[in-house]
Amino acid sequence: MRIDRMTLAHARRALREARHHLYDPNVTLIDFGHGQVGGQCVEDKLAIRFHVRRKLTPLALEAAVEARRTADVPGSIGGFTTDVIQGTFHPHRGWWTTWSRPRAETRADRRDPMKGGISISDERHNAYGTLGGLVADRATGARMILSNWHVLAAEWNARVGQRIYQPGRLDGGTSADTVASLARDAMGADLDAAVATLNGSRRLVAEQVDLGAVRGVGRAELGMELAKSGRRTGVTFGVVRGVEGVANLTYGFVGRVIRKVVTIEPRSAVEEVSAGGDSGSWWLDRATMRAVGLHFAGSDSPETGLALDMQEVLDQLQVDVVVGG
Amino acid sequence: MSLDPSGARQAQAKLVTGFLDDPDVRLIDLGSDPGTGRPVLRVHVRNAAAESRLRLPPEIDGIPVRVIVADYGLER
Repeated sequence: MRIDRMTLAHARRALREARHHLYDPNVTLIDFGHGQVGGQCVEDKLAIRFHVRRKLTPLALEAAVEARRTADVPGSIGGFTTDVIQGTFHPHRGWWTTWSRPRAETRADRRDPMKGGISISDERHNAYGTLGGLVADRATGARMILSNWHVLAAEWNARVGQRIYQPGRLDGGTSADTVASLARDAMGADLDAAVATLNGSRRLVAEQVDLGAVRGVGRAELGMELAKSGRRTGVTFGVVRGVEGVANLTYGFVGRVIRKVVTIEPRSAVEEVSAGGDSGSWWLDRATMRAVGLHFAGSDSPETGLALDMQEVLDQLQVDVVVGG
Repeated sequence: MSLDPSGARQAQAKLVTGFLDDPDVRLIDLGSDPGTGRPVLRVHVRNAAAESRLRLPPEIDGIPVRVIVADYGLER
């Protein structure tokens, strides 16, 4: 059965709506596929499928929901019916993996050396954003992390020296994971950007996870194809559809004007550009691997990402991108 | 593709002055018409109702104004 692109796009939105159920320890996977009737796959029925460790009887489910041990799955999400399927998933390990091979590092892990595209947060918020990449102070040459103000500072009263954790607190980071301290930000210039000075406990290399070395800085132009590496959605692609934007966004309860915004849309209807947790990631020109944007916001419907003009950010913060080898 | 920087930005500045303070306006940027490739001004509004309420001009200084319904949030 072929699934057309529009259906897939709707399914992707529905899956996004459903993914908070992954916090339920009984849910192992949520996907889109053929529904089931009486335990048998039905090819002409498409459903959002919740794979659970144990399928509960109606009475047990009611008790578990009441005790907040699990959450009830709605009958439909985004126009698709839902199915609850019992099944536990295990990694498909080869024989050699059982005794020596470590598991692959994820973007949520503590990384050494660090690269752009991994989890990071300030010390005060139970959150994560993305470690954008490596920059150097124009005056002192000090090595710094460039990310968003709302990732590294995140409060109007944030103080210089505030500790930065890798991974971010929501990924388990603690004070033992401190890698940098907040140095300065560019909110005064209407740019959601900040830098934190590395403390030397771990090395940060001028590369992006799964994308490779950063080759310099460029300007976003309409139609330019970009790629980014972010904590939440990994490597995604997009096309520049707007430049020189001036935005009015809400920070907490405060509206702020943000300027020099680049608007990035997916290459096709079924692709995702970004999601919560990708803030701070760098958009690179795919052709040259030069950094052209600092991701900071987005919309799910329509799927769109917003970034800040990278050269403007660097000039305001008085830093330069460190070029990878 | 590059935009005519001065003309389009001056027209954009007029839109920003007139409309960015509206709580339903999220973003005003410069784009291009997918058919002709000509520059357009794009006003991103939070909801479809805002489009009729705002009474945006169809063009400014000869540059067409397009409305996009999208609500943006920080992605931490």
